[in-house]
Amino acid sequence: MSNRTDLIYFDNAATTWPKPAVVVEEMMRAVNEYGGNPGRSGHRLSIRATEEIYSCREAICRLFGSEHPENVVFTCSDTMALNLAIKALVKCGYHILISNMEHNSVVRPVSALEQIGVSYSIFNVFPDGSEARVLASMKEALKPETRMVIASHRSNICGMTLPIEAMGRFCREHGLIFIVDAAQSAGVLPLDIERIGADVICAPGHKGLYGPQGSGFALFSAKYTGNVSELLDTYVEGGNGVDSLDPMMPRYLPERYEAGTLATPCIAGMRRGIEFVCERGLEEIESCESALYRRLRDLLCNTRRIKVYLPQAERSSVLLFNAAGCTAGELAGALDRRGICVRSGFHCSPLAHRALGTGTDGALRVSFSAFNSVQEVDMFYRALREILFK
Amino acid sequence: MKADFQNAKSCIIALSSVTYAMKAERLLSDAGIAAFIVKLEAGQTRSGCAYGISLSCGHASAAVQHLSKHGIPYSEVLR
Repeated sequence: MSNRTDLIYFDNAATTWPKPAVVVEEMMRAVNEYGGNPGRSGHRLSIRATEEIYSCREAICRLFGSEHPENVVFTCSDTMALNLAIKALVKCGYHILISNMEHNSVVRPVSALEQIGVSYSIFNVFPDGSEARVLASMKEALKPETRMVIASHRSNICGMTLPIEAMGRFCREHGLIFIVDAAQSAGVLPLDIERIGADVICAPGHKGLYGPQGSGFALFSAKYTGNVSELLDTYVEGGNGVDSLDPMMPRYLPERYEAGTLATPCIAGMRRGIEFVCERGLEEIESCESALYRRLRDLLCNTRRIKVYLPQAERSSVLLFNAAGCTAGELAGALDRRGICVRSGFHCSPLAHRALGTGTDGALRVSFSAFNSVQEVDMFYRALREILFK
Repeated sequence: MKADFQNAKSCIIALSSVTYAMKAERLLSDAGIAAFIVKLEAGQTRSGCAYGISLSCGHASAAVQHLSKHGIPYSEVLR
């Protein structure tokens, strides 16, 4: 782990830092000890890299309830995974439902698809966490041509966790493709692809899974096992070491979507990050992060000039607030000068900011990881008071 | 079993991808059948570059049955 004694890092929803030492060590090992190109050659370095890639597929399956390592498609980010899932499964004429908590990694792809005859509507999730109201909003937005639902499991700006299991049931009842964005929940909340009935779970490796930036994946459900050429369109084509005389991409996952050399050091780091999460336990991590969130929320809610958004949430890894008389950007800058890293603005989630009513400057987000402490929360609060009141 | 395998005539089960080759190797290992991944030589398959798993020919039919049971698509057995 890097020396971070002079910094308080509260921007973990953007990317977790520091990374566990074992992640860094595994990445170094990948570069120095098994640097062959996976799935290309028959020599030991290539085969060793291939084994590591496959071990990461298995680790992802164990965490997300799949028995099909071949249904894990590696990408360089969650955004790329979402683009893959959406564009592989969408057809011209489809109507898509997305929630009002979605990140631009969902909003922008579905907006771009409007040019090819795809449309979308936004359904609402509510501060009271009501499952019934979410389902009613989804039902209200349904059209005869609705074929797909895309939803974040957990918001990236506030303590909103979507009722993903009920939404999965809704999708099954209405024959809809269900894509889950686990950007903020992977490694924190349990998520079983088959139990929730999702078609695809997309996640980054570099957030709650403690892997490096440059890692991510799309996990397809069991129904996409075998020949998927009729179901799934490709959107990037190229070499991947198999069927090289065929000008078309392979018909099977994952090679159908893995054109070009995989980022073995990143994938190896992600595999070790997943093991770190499993060793520590999701429940333990979630519980620690929520305790930090509640401590800071309670302090901020009792501080004049400060408005906390969605303070009724009891479990969260992120906290969003504004301070009267100071923009979020000014506040983030002042905190940075005191060695505290947080993020201001709209956090790539304009829909969610609009739903929460944060205003023209967005807001300030504090987000925790397994490496943060109560002492850091208290130091943050003291620094904030100094900035605002001295 | 590994010593037997090294002395026995080996066969290769050609698979549709390196990922399926990895899966096949682990499934067979769990079933007590020793096998390892090999890259197939140019000309060994109709579709170009491919991977397979090498194992004792004596275990080939049991291996193929086991892989079929687990939905692993293989293209052919090279003897």
